[in-house]
Amino acid sequence: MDAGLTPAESRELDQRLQKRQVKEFMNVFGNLVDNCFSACVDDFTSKALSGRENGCIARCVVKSMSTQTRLGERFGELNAAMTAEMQRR
Amino acid sequence: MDSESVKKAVIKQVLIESNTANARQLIEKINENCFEKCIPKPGSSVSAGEKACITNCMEKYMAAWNLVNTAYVRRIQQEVNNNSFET
Repeated sequence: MDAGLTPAESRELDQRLQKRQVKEFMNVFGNLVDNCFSACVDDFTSKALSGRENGCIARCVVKSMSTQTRLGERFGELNAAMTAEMQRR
Repeated sequence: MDSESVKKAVIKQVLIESNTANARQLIEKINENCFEKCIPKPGSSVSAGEKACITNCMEKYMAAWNLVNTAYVRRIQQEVNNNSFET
């Protein structure tokens, strides 16, 4: 299937995929901060995060990451089921 | 140029690019969030109170960014440790 790719081309492809992955990750990270900030921080009378806000953000991150993991698992499960179904036909 | 220095140059370049993109995205998010939170009713100019709010907001957002960074790294390390225990 990839008989067409020279080693140089396949290196180039890997590099581009990696760059895209990094970008994707930065997106996820940025959105994570955005969400948790919106949800947890409301008081702008001081410059520093309060203890409550600190705790809230830490919990928010853990929850978001756990959610993402679970969604990934579920997606994989459903995908596998769909593939098995298609193979049966 | 030997492959080691090429690799180092590429890594440095990628880091610079990702830091720039990072900074740009961070500023964009700060703008959005802090405008929304601090300027509920836009007038013809930014009042002193709104300026103070925006300053505090920016400080808090960056602190939050650092916090998320730390928590994220810690969680990833946990996962790596867990995985290496299982294998």
